[in-house]
Amino acid sequence: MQSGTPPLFRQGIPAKVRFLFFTLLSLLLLLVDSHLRVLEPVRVYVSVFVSPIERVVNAPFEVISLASRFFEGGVGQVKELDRLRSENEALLIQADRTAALLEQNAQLRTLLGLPVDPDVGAAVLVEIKGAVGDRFSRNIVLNRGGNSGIRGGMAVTDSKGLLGQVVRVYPEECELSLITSRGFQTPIQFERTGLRAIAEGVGETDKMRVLYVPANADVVQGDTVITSGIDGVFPRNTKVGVVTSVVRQRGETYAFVELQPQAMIDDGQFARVHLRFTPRARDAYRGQNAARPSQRPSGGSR
Amino acid sequence: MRPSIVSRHSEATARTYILLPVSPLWVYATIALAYVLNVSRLSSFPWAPDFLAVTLVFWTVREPRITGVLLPFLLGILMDVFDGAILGQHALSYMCLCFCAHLLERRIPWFTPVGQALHLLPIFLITQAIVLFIRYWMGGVFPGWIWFLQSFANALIWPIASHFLLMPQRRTQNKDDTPI
Repeated sequence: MQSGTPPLFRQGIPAKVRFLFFTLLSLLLLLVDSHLRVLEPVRVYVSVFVSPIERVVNAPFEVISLASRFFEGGVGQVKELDRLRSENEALLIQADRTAALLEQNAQLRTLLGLPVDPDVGAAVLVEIKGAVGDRFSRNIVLNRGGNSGIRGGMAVTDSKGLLGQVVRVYPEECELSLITSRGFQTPIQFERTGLRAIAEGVGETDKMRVLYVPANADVVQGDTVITSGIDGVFPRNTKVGVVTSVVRQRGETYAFVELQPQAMIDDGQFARVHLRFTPRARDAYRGQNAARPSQRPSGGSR
Repeated sequence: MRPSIVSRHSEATARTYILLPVSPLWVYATIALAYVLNVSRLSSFPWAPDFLAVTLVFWTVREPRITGVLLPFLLGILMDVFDGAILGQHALSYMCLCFCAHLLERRIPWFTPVGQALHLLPIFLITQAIVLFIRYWMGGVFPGWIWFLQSFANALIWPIASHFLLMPQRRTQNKDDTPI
């Protein structure tokens, strides 16, 4: 016979055990979500419920900012309008010329029997909504998402140059990892010499470093750096930055090259997402770590 | 010395109310309100307090049976999705906070709101330090020391929040000066 007294009040599992269980569960979630992409669907489903609330809550703030912009008007806006009109004229002329050139180029390609240029493709114009709330990442939120055909891994550029890569996609918005984020690697080429190398972000918005530039290579301050396109992710010949310093040290195999990114990392308003989803982009996206989007297992640095 | 302490104590007891029982609906409503404040533009500033954390800690101290353990965890996940953070970051932070609040559940209500805030400040700071350590270790960017400002903001709004959250329970104060 069992002779223990029956519990007077049934309290279930002790509170401390429950706390411990959920603490361990959240640690497990952190580990899984930072290394694998299996939880992305969960995130998307939750965001479908959360984002309407967010939109409703922030609607009054939107109205206030719109109203203040509406009333600040005046001379500044007239000037701005003039500037935009003239700029628009110039751009229209340029667009005309570009369209003609593109057509000519396509015809020449067919004459020569070359395959269609993969870099000339559809793109979506998106508006930059701002930085993500998470203070541990410098990712940026864009106002279009999966419903506009955007997929993870696609390249994003702005009017000045390469901006980054899409790392997380929701139905109506997506998240972008900047080329300047720590550990983000971009295959590049020096425009003047054609030398290929890799640019890596260091976590600062106005600086990147270039890896694997031989010490005797012809690189000088002011050289323009463009994407080489050999990764199959970023479109070829997109501006990345300008070399700001070249330091060669005796006994070092590689030169220390730093460059300043050209894209408007901090204050851009619009960007283009290139709707090119090559198998290589997809593989790179799947194999990536969420925190370090474009890092591939490629030897030690320097 | 002694009489003064006694008199101060009696003064303190004279000011305390016998609170009405809490309505679970009020608890859930205030938590929902805190969530709304957290996803609003107000929270985009580094000095903005985490309203949800403060509310959850408050109700964990006062009414641990209503909030339970699952609710802070799920709200943490919601905040992670909203913030674009790694899933589990806010959940971990809320679990830590509520666990410490649970440990101090018997002690905290004895103090004045300011004293309570001073008790909770180290808890907020430790929790933020844990989250900072884990995220930095997982390859995040160091957000700067301004990161810890939120704990101080949380402690600052604690007295106001506790006054507000107890309002419906304090409502009918029996003056007890009516003749029999």
